[in-house]
Amino acid sequence: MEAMSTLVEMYKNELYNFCFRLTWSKPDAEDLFQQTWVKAVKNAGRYRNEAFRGWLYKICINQYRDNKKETRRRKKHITDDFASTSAKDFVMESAAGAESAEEQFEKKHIKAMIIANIDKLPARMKVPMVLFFYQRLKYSEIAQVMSVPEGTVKSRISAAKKRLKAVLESELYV
Amino acid sequence: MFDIDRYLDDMNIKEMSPDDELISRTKKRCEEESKKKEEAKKRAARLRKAGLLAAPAAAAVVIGILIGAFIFAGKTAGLSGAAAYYTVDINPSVCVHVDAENKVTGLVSQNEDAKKLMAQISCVGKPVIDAINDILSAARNEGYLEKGKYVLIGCFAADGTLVASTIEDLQANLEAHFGDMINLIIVRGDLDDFITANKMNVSAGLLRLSRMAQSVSVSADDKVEDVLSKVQCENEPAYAAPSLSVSPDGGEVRLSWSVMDFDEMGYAGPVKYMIAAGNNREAVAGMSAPVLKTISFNSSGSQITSCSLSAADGLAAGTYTYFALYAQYGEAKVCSNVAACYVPPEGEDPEPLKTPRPSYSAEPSPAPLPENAHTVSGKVSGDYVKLSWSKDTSENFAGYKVVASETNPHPKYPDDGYLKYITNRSTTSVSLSEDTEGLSANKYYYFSVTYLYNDGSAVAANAVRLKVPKKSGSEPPSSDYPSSTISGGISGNTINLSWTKINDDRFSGYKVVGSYTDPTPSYPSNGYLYYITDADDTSVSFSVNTLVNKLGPYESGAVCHFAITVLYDGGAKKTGNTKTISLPEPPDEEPYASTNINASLNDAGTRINFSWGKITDERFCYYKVVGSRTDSSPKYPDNGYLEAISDPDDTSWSIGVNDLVSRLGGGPGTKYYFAITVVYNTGVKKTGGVKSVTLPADPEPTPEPTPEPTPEPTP
Repeated sequence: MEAMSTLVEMYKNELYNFCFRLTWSKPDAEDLFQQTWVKAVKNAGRYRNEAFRGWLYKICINQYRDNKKETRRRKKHITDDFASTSAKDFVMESAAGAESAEEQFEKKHIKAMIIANIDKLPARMKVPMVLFFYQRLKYSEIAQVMSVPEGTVKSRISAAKKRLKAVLESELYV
Repeated sequence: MFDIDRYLDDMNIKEMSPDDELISRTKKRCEEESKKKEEAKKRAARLRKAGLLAAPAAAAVVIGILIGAFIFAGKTAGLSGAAAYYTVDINPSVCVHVDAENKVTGLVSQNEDAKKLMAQISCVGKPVIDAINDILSAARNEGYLEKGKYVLIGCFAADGTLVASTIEDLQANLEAHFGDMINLIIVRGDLDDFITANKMNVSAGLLRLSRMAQSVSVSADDKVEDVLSKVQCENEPAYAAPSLSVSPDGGEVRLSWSVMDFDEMGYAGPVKYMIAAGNNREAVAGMSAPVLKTISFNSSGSQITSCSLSAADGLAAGTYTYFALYAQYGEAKVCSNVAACYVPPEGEDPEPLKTPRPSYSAEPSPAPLPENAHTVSGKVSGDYVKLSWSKDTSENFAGYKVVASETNPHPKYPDDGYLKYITNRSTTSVSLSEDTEGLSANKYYYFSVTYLYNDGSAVAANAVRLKVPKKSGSEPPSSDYPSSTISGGISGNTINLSWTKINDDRFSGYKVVGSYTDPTPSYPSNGYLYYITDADDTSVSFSVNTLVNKLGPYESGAVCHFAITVLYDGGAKKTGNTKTISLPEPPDEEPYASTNINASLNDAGTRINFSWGKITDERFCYYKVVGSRTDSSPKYPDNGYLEAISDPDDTSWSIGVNDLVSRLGGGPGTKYYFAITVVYNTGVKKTGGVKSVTLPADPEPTPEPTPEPTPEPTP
């Protein structure tokens, strides 16, 4: 158990951030975080020689999908968690450059819109987007945690971007 | 043009830190889970030792299945004559009837929860593994399966080989689908277990579980967790003793036993093995025989696994002696199997076996036949094969299993199944004929009897080879046999039937028969709904849903004709009057929707994009994107599928042309047909409209370009 406790300490921030960026809800992120660790303990016997970080991500993604299904199954009426969480609060300012305060504000607003729309993507697109753009994992790492070929990761990200672009264009320029 | 990359590449999201309270709560939960896992491991080891649990899967989740409650509200279900019965006990409790091909012939709900569940499932005709999968899926969808839930699956069949071949696949299948969610326990029994449980009005699976654990009581109200808890409490600590074997060695007897895995058993500390011997089997098995030798060591050190005994140790030479190893682990003391052999006087060679015979368990073949002999003789007399065997004299006697095999010259239970199970010690003969299930006329069989004992051991007797004769006589005229008069009615959705009792020594069972169309139904022409072997049991109640499960759907205004066919020894059947009952409006079922696909080639001709309408149905399970270049009406499962999507909101997909060509064949100029098959969790599949796409004939499809270049961010 000491080993697991050490691992929790080691990965707590990264995993918690991932959970939060998938759910955009503090209670849901906390549940997902805890479920992921409990599942890791439960399935410790299945852990083979692979990077622990990737294995942890894998468990978290599967748990996230299960939770999503469960929510759907129960037909629980949930408020739009993302909407109730102000995305703007989580978008950091870009490094100060030549942009005016107004430009910076607009950029932050658009980023918040992008985050909101990534959140609405189906899981098979949303997860690689979160892993790539928020968690900064490489394509090869995403391929490993999602158990799909690297090419599939690229095409899903590409498709997601295309979809986002269309949505953003309609929202911004109409 | 909106440059999304500009924003995405610069996406910088605030880093959050989890609360300390969350971290400490998580660590605590991990610790609890770890402890639970350890306990489950020990419990699994104990159950395995008791023979209750299948060998652990590599993944090492606790796999256990509860086998089936057969409890109606105050009513006992009868046998339906299926080849095997699988009971699934989650609460809901369901019994699955299967034929000799392991295909489902009927589902019986055992309680109200199950009735609701079964209303969503249609498994008749499916392989039993798929059916059980469907039941668990439905239970999960209805919220009955929580994490860590115990699910008990019981397999009961007259022919042990039928379920033996299924259990492994069943376990693998359920582990793959529900391994992370449930604790699966699989128990196996025979039809007698099943019948006994029905008579006791308790779950057959729980009864089997309790019997395997020896001495645990079980009641109709018990759930799986209750029985497991009793197994744990009443048998704690459930340590196992080694498996013992003995053989005469000159004037000595050589004893050897298995190496114990104390880690798996969960024991650490001093170990004391005591070798006991005597000529009274019960005393030896009951741990009251004199101890002739004691061996001590520590569980963490090297183990001693053999020793020799001679007259100097107190062995009585020239006698047939029973041996056992009493193992003491701390305060706990357990007994090994009982093994036996003839102890020759010093200098005398062991006498050769008089009757070579197969033995089961660690029971050795004795030299001179002991007083409790196991011999079978047989002859053909008229239309029957008549078998006789020696009466067992052991106090530990549990029963005789009459076995037969066409090919195995040494048939034994459980390897070869059994024809009859006799628990009356004094019944030492049986008549078998072509009517006996498992036997055919004009065929030779090896017949034998396996003697079963309460300590779990079994001894197979010798075998005799005899030809089953073809019956010459005809059935006695049916007018000699009384029939039963049925009456009944319907109350709400419950059909109540009762009939007159048969007081005839030749009575063997009631078949409750039903038909929507035949005004004079009878068994076997119309099959049957229930099979009841207790002459005093003269009523049955069941819901309209059960009727639909058994006979199929009916239309508004339909009636059902019921009758009782009485079965008599020797095969005679007598069907009485018909009771016709008007059925209520058929249970409603929401229609299942399909969805039409849109398919189009992108401008570059490199990808085909699909989209379809969303399905908003609670029963939704998957969209299967189906494609074919030869079938203009492709559908799942006939044409396989290109992609399965479990998110009902996810209503689009695309595939690269090269990928499509590599999967479906064809090439430039080929026409492909696509459709969406919606799969529902009830097993229903609905395929919508078809859309075709023809690849450009020339030039060759260009290779799919690398997706939009996205700079690899530095992690």
